[in-house]
Amino acid sequence: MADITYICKRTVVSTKPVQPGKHFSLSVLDRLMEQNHLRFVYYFRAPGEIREPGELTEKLRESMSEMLTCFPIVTGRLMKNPEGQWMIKCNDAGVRMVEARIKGSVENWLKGVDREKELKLVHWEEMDHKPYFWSTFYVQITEFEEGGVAIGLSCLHLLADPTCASMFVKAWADMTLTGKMLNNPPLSHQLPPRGPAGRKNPSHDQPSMELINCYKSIADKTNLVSTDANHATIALAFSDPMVRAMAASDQSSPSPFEALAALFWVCISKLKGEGDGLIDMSVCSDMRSVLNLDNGFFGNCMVYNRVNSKNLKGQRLPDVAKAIGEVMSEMDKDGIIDLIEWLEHNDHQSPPTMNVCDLICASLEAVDPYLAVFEEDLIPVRVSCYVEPVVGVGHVLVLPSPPGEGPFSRVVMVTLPEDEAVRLCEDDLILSFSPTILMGVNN
Amino acid sequence: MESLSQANHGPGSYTINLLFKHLLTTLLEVLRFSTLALVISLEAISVLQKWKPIFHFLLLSIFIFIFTIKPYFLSSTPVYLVDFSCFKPPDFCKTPFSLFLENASKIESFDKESVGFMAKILTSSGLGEETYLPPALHCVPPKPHQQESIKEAEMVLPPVMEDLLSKTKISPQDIDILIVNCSGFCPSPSLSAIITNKFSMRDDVKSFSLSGMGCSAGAIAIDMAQNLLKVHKNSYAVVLSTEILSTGWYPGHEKSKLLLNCTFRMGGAAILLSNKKEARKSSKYKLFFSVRNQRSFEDKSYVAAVREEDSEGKLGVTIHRDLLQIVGETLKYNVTILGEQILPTLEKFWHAVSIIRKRFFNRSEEIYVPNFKSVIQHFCLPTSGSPLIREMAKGLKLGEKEVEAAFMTLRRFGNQSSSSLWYELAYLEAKEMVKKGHKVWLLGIGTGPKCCSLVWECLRPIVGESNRGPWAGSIN
Repeated sequence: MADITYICKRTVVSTKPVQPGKHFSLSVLDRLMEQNHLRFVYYFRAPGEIREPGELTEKLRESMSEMLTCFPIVTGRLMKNPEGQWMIKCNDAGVRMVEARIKGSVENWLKGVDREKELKLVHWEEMDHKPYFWSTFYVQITEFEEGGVAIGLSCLHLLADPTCASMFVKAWADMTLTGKMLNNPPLSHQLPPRGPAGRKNPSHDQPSMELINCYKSIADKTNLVSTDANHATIALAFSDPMVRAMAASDQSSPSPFEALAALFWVCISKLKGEGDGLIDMSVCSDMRSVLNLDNGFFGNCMVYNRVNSKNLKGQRLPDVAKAIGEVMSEMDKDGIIDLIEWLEHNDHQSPPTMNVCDLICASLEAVDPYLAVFEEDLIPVRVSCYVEPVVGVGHVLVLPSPPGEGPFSRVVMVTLPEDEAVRLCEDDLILSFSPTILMGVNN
Repeated sequence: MESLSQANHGPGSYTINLLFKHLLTTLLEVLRFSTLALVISLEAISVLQKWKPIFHFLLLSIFIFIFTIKPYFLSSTPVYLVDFSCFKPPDFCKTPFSLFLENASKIESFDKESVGFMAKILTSSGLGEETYLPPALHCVPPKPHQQESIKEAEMVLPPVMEDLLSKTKISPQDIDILIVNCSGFCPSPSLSAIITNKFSMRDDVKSFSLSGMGCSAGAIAIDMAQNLLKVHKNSYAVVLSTEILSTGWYPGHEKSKLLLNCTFRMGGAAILLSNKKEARKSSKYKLFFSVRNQRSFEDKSYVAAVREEDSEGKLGVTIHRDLLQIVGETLKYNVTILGEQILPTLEKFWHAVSIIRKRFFNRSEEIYVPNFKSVIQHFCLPTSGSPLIREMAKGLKLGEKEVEAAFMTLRRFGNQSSSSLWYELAYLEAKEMVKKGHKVWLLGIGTGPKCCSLVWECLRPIVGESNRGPWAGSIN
């Protein structure tokens, strides 16, 4: 596999300046994600006409400049406010972009790609000692010499969750394709307050504790499970009928996420030596629709909740999926607002690292990356997502499939210690649902 | 040797030269008048004395020769400025201070002190947040390759030339003379060859490329075009002024070289000149007067702004601390000649009186600076930075209104070197301040040091420019 040639790194600025003195403060949900960053890779197959090398990159650069005028939070820089918390100063400093070239074609690359290679398509820099000069968003455009392009986006999780990141790329694609933004520019950053109507269920005067307890226990956990092992990421595609069959039973019909989360929870627990039992697991999902937020809400809106594994020892998939479904339904508007109020009350100076202790199963179904169409024939053929750094048990990300493969089909990206990842690919239960291995573990 | 060269230069010699020219012209006029008087009296005598007809014929031919044919052949046709265009860089080239300083801090060759120094210069320079740098200088680190400079030249010059051609409705094949000036970047084939190639100009077009002549090169190119138009009648001349920045970035530590990193920005202008008679109807300006001088003969002035390598071998332009003073001296001589040509007699009289007073009576007294505002309505000064503009305004007794164009151009576009003057003129036109009959003084000062003044007279009302050109959208 040919190596990447990095051509240059530059700063891309917006075409219209932001009014001076503008600031964005970050919410409690944002501040929890400070230690993490996201990485996305979008692959595009070669369009019909042959282009000069660098021509597409130049076009994308110019359309990004136009689009950035609507994302002042992305082009701003981190500063600490008087309370010592992070906030964004909108100073138009821009976004860092890396341009690269690679031999071969997208198709050949996708056949043999693994985690290590894929991460080369996304540039990321850790925060340096001068946060004010540190870009929070990075974009890498890698042109394949035989055709096709890969666009990598990485960003600090403090500012954006996966839904925002895909919103950013879609806005960029719309600007490139049509010359304007099709969706409204992203909205301000405030999480909704309780509102004058009060709780839905007035009989519950006490705040609902399930979510709060989950976050409390994560914050309290001092012994972080850290492994020295290399991690590997595998991507498995499950077809529509398979997912339907997965956890269907007479009593319930779980959602695709619940079914897949159940499957992977059971199999990974087995791998980790739990036998019939299940390891600690938390689910995570986008709560914009629950909180009645516009899709243009730019900020973290993914909430975690722990699934109680005690009663699920030896249970079959449909029951596990049902338990997951119950936990998901606990994440209702009142519960989340109680959680937000509790977090605001108990704001720690150094927030806990969210994605470390348990196995995390995150639903990224609200992310629709395949809408990012840059040109008429420049449509994404595959999208990968990483939540870094991975230091703990591992995580399972459930993403939508490319369009046309059925409403229940999904792509699951699992990151585990390398040896466990290899064994997972050979697991009978998983293989019984005939997944296509999009990305395996190369030795 | 030095005294010899000094004897040929200095303010005294210019004044003496000019006085001599004045004397000669006056003498010739007196001669002509006396010849006329003689011819008329001879004619009168010949009529009264009834001389032979051959005498009448002789006198008539002398009369015709002295007063009609000779003036017709010896007078030069004026040079008209038909129109001009300024390049508006694309918005993705904008460079707010935050981007400039962040990129600078990420460049490994810069230390904290250099970045701090550049931050200080930026904030006190008078530049705004929307000035433009070429894409190569947005890279971390900046790409200094030849190819990037060619790309920048192709980004700037062809569009501004296209704009000029479409505004003036002439085709590239109509152009007889082409002069391109760019101080820092000098490729082969030259920049003028790039333009003649892109626009498929005639095979006999007289093309020139001026390089290394600094910020005054734009005005000098116009002066050169004027001289060429004296030789080539009935012609169109195009002057393209720009400064290509991609090669000029200084990556070292010396503060005197870091100055230009902070203030130089993208820009380009295209000017169409003509000596065709029919151009008078559609032209905006006529060249009223031009004068250029230089002080390179004096070593101290010669080294005021030099492109050289620093102790680490990095190339940059050193700006010496006494540049302001040297610019003042170079400007003084230029202004003296300009004043002697265009100022009203009264102003010249007071100026002469104050010189005499200073020389013979009170050495410490200040020389009277004539009021240029009495003849010139608009001033386009070099936009090298706020301190220089203020010094020049002080020296020429100009007020806020006169320096508005220079400060606004510096703020909106930065120091664009040789093309700045045209952005200032475009500003004045966009604000509809230039009326018919008004005179505009374009002053170019550059490394050498060299100074070139061009005074234009406005020939027609200029309206509607606020919607076109580089200031569209910036002026309400």
